[in-house]
Amino acid sequence: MYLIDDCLAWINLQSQILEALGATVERVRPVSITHKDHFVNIARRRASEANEFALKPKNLQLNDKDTAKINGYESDGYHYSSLFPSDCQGGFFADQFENLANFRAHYQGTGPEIWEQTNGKLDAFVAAAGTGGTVAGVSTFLQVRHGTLSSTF
Amino acid sequence: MSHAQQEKNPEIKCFLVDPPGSGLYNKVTRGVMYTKEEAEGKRLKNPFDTITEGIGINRITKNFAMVKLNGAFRGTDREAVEMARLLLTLLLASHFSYF
Repeated sequence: MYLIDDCLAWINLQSQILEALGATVERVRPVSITHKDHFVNIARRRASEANEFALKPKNLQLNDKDTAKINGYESDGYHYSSLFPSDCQGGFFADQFENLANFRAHYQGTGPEIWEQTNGKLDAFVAAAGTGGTVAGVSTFLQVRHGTLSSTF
Repeated sequence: MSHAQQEKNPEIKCFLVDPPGSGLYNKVTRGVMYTKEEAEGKRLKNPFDTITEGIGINRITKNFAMVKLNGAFRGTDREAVEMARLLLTLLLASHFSYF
């Protein structure tokens, strides 16, 4: 299915743009949200690891790869590479599921964009939900701001 | 936005479309977070195989709790692929005159 190839090319391009901007991009396999290695769970873990890393004294800041090297007597003294830079101040997990900045972005951004680009001429809005931020932000904007509020909730 | 436009559209309906394996459809339509793939004795270690990775969930997030919905639909993977193709076709047609 060439559509999938196009999507993969687009995802690669997005990674390259982030890397060009100075970000470290960790590529992961797509797995279920309940899996410990789902990208959201990895992000949560990395933020927590960065906090632990930042609290350690500098000479103890090793990552797993370095530890393996030391056990194999290949340590090169104090010049350890690390997943985190030596000036790492800690990590922050944005948590798109529970963070209401997600809702606000769609209430203040996506909702008004849809309203403007359709000149207010729309009968219905249908969307899927993962975090719920899009459907909640847009539906609240359209119904509270520009229509009568009738909700199943 | 002008009042005239609002009067033309006094009510904009909002709906959820939910993929297989997600409990949100039943939460919206019946008030109970449930999907048959999550039934007792049916739950798999690597839960449910759908191409809509990242869409659908089996808990109420703080973001989803803010939603204002009139109803919900179920959607299949086939429908998701067909709609993605249609949207991509329309996008390419409108932007680049591909077709």
